[in-house]
Amino acid sequence: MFKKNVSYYPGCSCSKSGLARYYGSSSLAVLKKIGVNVSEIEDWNCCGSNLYRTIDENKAYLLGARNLAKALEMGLPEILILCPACFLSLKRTLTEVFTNSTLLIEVKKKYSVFGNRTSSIPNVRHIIDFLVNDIGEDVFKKNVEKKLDGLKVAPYYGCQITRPYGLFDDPEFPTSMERIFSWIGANPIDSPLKTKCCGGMLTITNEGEVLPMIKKILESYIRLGAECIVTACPLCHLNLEIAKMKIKRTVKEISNIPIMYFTQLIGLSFNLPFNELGITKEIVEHLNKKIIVTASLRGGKNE
Amino acid sequence: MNVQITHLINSDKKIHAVVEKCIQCGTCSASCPLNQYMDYTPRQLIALVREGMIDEALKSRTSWLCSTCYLCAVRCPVKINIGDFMTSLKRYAIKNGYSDNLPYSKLTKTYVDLVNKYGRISETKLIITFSLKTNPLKLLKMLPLSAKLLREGILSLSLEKVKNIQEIRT
Ligand code: SF4
Ligand code: SF4
Repeated sequence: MFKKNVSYYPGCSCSKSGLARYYGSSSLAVLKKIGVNVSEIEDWNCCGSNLYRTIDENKAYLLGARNLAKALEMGLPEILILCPACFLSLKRTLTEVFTNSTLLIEVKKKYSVFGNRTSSIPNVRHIIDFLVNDIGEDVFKKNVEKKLDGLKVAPYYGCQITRPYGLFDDPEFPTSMERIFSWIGANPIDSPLKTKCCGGMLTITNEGEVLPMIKKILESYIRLGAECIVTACPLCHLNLEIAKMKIKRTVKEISNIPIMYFTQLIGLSFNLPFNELGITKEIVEHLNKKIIVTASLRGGKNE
Repeated sequence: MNVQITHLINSDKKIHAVVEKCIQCGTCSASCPLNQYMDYTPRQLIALVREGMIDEALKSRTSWLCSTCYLCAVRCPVKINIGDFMTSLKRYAIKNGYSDNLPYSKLTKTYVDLVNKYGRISETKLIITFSLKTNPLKLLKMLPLSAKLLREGILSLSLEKVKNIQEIRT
């Protein structure tokens, strides 16, 4: 059986009390089934996100470095991250720490593990990258129990999974999620807007400006015949939900289309319990109507 | 104060590199999803800083509309990270009192306060604290979504604090 040990950085959103807790729980369930041994980074803190960096750049990197140091102390330098913003922050922290000598000295002073000759360099990974490039098709497919044949899934990547670094996929037209969908039998919909900006935090402060952008994305997916929209980012997810609420009355088709995390969809095909995935009965009913060929999802483990 | 900021910005290595390398091609402006709402396009903002019109640049709402989606950054022919340039300008604007009344600036401060206090944030707490400071009525508008999130068991007010909080505060 496949075995691998990694550390896991949940970040505020995907943690147990965050808005994206089911992105967290479904990812953990999927990884467990594949055989990945995941250890949460002990006493982790804020990633030092772009908001923090806007006020205090140096402190933001020190915050990021504390998390990296904890992973090193646990002897698990390979760090899995779900939230694209956290992923970018920690990746950026790593780059800054090793290219800015003053910062490196400060980090080593604060977190001695960085200066330790025997410790490795942290390896910050996004879960999509990990699933596609480390787990790979063969191992992944061994866990698929129900194929979601024919389900038209619209992947929405948002921005920071691939930008600005473009580490494991094309920065504007990535296809990693589509590869995963093909492994579970779903049909990906190809939208030119899949990495368009969701407005990020601006939905809180500048709703008037960003709502039209998100609406455009949703409407494009509907026109392309999406039966389910899949995200990999807590903020994208929230913003799509907000836009969906706003246009529900005028665009009837949208009201039934579930917006899910891609790991929730994988979880369904792995036949994992609905409560771990955070999937409601309504969603399953809706998907069941759309899946044509293979066994229906009804009878998921906890029913 | 103006002269001081101008000097500060001119001696900022990262900003200096942007101003030096930019060929004013406008790719960033054309790519930006928020360009239609900006008073200066990203290219123009760089030109302003290059010409030393710092006051103008810091008063502009352009950087505050940048969502850091980095589409500009991956398309720039000379590999300038314009999103990061925007973040730097926001930082200077906050530090020098240019943005005290801007909602986004208040959101940023609320966020940092929460992190300094707890080591982490909760989105719910962030939005509520921020709305109470700026526009309490907005909370009412958010009720339908909150109701949905509550129903799905997603909304939560709890926030787990970092145990070794001293490490965060120092
Ligand atoms: S794309 Fe790059 S070179 Fe062109 S105007 Fe923008 S920053 Fe300057
Ligand atoms: S990073 Fe900012 S300036 Fe660049 S395209 Fe995105 S929103 Fe526009």
